[in-house]
Amino acid sequence: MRIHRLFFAAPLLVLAVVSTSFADPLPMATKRLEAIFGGGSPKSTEDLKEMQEHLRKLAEKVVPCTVNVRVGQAQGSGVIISKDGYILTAAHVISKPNLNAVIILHDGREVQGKTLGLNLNLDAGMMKIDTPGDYPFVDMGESSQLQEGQWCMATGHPGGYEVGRQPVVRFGRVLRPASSNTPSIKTDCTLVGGDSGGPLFDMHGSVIGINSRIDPALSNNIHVPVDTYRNTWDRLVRGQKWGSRLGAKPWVGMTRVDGDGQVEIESVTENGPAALAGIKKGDVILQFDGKDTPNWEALKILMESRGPGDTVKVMVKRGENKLEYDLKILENPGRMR
Amino acid sequence: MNTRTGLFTLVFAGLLSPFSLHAQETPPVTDQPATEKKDGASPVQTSAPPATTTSATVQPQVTKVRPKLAGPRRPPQSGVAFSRGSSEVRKAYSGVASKALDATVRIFNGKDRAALGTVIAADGLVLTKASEVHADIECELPDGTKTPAKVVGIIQEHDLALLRLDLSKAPGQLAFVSLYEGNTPAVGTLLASPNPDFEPAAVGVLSAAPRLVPKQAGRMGINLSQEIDGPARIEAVIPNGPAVRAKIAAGDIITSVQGVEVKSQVELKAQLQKYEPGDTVKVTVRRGDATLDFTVTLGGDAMFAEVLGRGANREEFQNRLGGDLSRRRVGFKSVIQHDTVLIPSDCGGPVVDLDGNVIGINIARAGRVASYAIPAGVIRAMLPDLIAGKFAPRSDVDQQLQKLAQVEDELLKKISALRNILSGEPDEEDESEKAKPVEAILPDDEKMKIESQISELETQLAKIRADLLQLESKKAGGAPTPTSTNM
Repeated sequence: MRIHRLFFAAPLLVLAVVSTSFADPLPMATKRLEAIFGGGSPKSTEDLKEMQEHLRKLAEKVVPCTVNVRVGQAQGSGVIISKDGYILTAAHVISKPNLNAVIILHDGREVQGKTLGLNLNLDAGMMKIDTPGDYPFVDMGESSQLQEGQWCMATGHPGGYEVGRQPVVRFGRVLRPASSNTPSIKTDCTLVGGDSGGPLFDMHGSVIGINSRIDPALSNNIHVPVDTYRNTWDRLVRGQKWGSRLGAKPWVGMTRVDGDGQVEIESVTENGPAALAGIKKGDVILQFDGKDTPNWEALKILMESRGPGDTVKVMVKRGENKLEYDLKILENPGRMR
Repeated sequence: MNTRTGLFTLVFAGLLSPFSLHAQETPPVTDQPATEKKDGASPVQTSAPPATTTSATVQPQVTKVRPKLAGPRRPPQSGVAFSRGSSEVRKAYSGVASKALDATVRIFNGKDRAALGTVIAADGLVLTKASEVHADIECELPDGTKTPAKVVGIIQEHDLALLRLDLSKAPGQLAFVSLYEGNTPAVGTLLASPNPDFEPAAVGVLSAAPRLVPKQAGRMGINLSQEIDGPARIEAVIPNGPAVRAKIAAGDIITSVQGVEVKSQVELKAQLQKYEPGDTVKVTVRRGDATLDFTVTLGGDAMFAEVLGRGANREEFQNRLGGDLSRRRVGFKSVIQHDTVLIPSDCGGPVVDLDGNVIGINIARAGRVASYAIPAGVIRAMLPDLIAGKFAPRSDVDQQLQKLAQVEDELLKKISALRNILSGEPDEEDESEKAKPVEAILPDDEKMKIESQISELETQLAKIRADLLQLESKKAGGAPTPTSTNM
């Protein structure tokens, strides 16, 4: 029997998107092109030319949806993902909900907006344009579907907004898709200050990540996986701020019995959050944060929208009784590996 | 603390929480080798006729016996085979890059690799990056011949130099390329930068359309007192700015920059304008009765927009993550931005599109995400004047300048190498150094010895730079001018 730890908070299910209209995905001209962009290498000039034709179209599609955002003295990038102006960006760009923001569109036009919610653990943030209008937008893709080596494009305003320079295009590959252990995407689309909050696209022009951070190696460009925005959409739109610090992982201190059905607790860590709340071995978790948890996947997604420091109501079934406990989520104290 | 494991958020003017991240974000990086296996190109010399070609259309056959040098150190791009710049991907560009590669020469300042050059005529005209070539210029042709070269002209606002090779001893004909007559291609165009040290080419995508990149003055991160004509007394310092990091404090009066005396704020400003963000300068201050020297790495305008106390100068810092930048990397009249990873000595070579057209000349490694190229059309427009000698360097002063700049370069290299030892930056050619914090293995007395060596070199550097400035102002015609262009 395999044991899954409950403090893995990885998005594996994809929930319905709120957006009602969709941008058309950019189709691949040939199967060959699809194979290359999916993770292969070009072999000839002909391959490269096919890639290039697609890239030029892709740039035309995604550059107009890339914006520069200013919140207080901070400046970063963002991407419009709905006609009425919802913008995905990085948590560290917006810093707080409900702040006034200035958004500079790709053509230099300035519009007004407000910051919405943010998840500090993953560096996910959202904002919305208030100035009425129909804005060019792109779709959110699925970051859970990414493959090593698949090609991608990043845009943003490296170094901050420059008059007369459109959002800047970078082309590269996914070096490491997001996983439960490392909930971020790594690519070799090079990023630098000012790119924060800008989008990472797949070759259909759907957003798969949001630019977040770098380290010295040119290959270490880190993006927030887009699935987390979808999974925590309601909280972000409502303007909630949660999480403690970048990279912090939630810990509840219990393991479950492996299986596809209901979530049965296999053990609780002594003095861990679950134990302190009153949850016991053998309990079946019915609800988390007021929502039903018919299976493990549902629970994982709910846990992702809550971070260390949050206290949530957990309803369990013990024998014939239904009991409710306040569970205070802590930060995972040790490295998991 | 091993600084290599730190991740840096990308907010430009950022207020963000600090972060030191879990280690799995930083896997060990192993670079692909800088040099690759050479294919079995025949080393047989073709008996090419002597250089009599003036017909521009016929491309002479060049025998490829270009020697493989130990390539310069390249920033690691990725440890995995499926990276965008993997040798497998670059190999696909062989056909695209080959013609321009044959017309790409290595340029040396004496023994030092300085830049690449693009041969644009069979009689030995070569374009390159002006600020990287100094005195005793030598070019290495694709057939391995080394030949001296002279500067025909330099266009400062583009940092572009035209050289003429001495072909008297060159055995074969010289391959050359023509600059593309069409417009700069669209954003999203795939580009190759042919390079004999990184065959066939470094590759990237066209990131932004041609634009002006304005010159930027270096900034110390200080606020001066109100009296403009008074001495340059520091009223306040930006937290964690360049001045603070150099240990300069509020109340200090700046008396000289790089050995040039400054008596007022105006004079200080004029001096600082000669430097760019990222340059290191020696600053002398008066503090009470004492006169103190400090070494300041200048920042850019951006730090003034940043939230006090947070990452002042972070932009400059982040840009340097991922490899050395060209010394001259701002102040260009028109450049294409692309995301090809270059090193400073790759500049001067051609950039080609997928039809092999030379659409530009690489002119700067400008930042972590950016390399700049001058568009072919811009160069074409200037070329007749450049060839005609209208931009000819003024002899003696320029030669002295070039010599001094060369000495400056050497000093900078030595200092940088010593600093690397101190900071524990692993030498990538030495595997055993990896992951070992040097703090632990470098005894204190050894450290002090290195520090005193650095300080001595910096004194020499300051003197050289003072001489350079004097010469530059002499060249500009007498009084020092705040707007004089940097070399």
